[in-house]
Amino acid sequence: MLWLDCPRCGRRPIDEFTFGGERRAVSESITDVDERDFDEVWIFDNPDGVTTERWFHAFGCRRWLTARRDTSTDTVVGVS
Amino acid sequence: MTGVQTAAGAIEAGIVLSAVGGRVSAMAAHAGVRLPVRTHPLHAFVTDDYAQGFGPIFASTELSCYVSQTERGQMLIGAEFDSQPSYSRQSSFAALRSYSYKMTRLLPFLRDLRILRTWAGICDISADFSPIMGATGVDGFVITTGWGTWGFKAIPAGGEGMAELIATGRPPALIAPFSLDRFRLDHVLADQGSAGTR
Repeated sequence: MLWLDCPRCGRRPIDEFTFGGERRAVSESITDVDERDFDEVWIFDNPDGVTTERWFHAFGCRRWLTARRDTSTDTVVGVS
Repeated sequence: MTGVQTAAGAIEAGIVLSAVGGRVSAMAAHAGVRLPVRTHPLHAFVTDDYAQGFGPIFASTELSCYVSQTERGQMLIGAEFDSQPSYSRQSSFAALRSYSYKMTRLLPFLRDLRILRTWAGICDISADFSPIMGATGVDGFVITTGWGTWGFKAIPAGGEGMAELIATGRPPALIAPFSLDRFRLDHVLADQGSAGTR
């Protein structure tokens, strides 16, 4: 992956962005409050396929964006 | 856990050790274990032969890159892994350019060599950039993973520690701090800088 389409700045080199981690909901099956915090902070789904994640345009508009990316090929599917 | 199912049939075991590299999240999920691990590609390349012998493995934790000479005389160069996790093994020109820039800053004589071959592999990286060794919370299932950063430098000692854990049921002092529950106990290891790849 070499480029990312920032909704505000347009197509920019990936070096301008900082990876912000996967974005997912903690499973409903985890009910304990501390367990939910632990899962959110430390556990990664780390999927091989399309995933939703946050990126920060550090050397651009300095705003966060949400990207859908296919981790099996490291290609962006969509940005919002 | 009492054994594993393989393509060649079932294998019974008193203790099952997962020592896979690259797809540990999927492997651990078979046992219902979720890990603080992400999988990132790491690029590397070799140059053509450098006539002089180059003895040491040379690494910069400041620039995050390393070089060693293979037995055939090629200079093997690697650097930091991609910032975003993925399972892609496509090596990129951007990585090649970045690694070359860093390495020729450190060792200018490398400018005269040509890049012979380049590749990318995938590494399991833990949330604190240190390996994870020991119990998983599932009876009879132990794990050694997160070696994407310390890899070749510490794996032999890690293997001996895991063997002792399996034989005695207790982690030896050397690997005890690397247990999976350190994340839950707020005892994460702040050794990111020592890895040399990040």
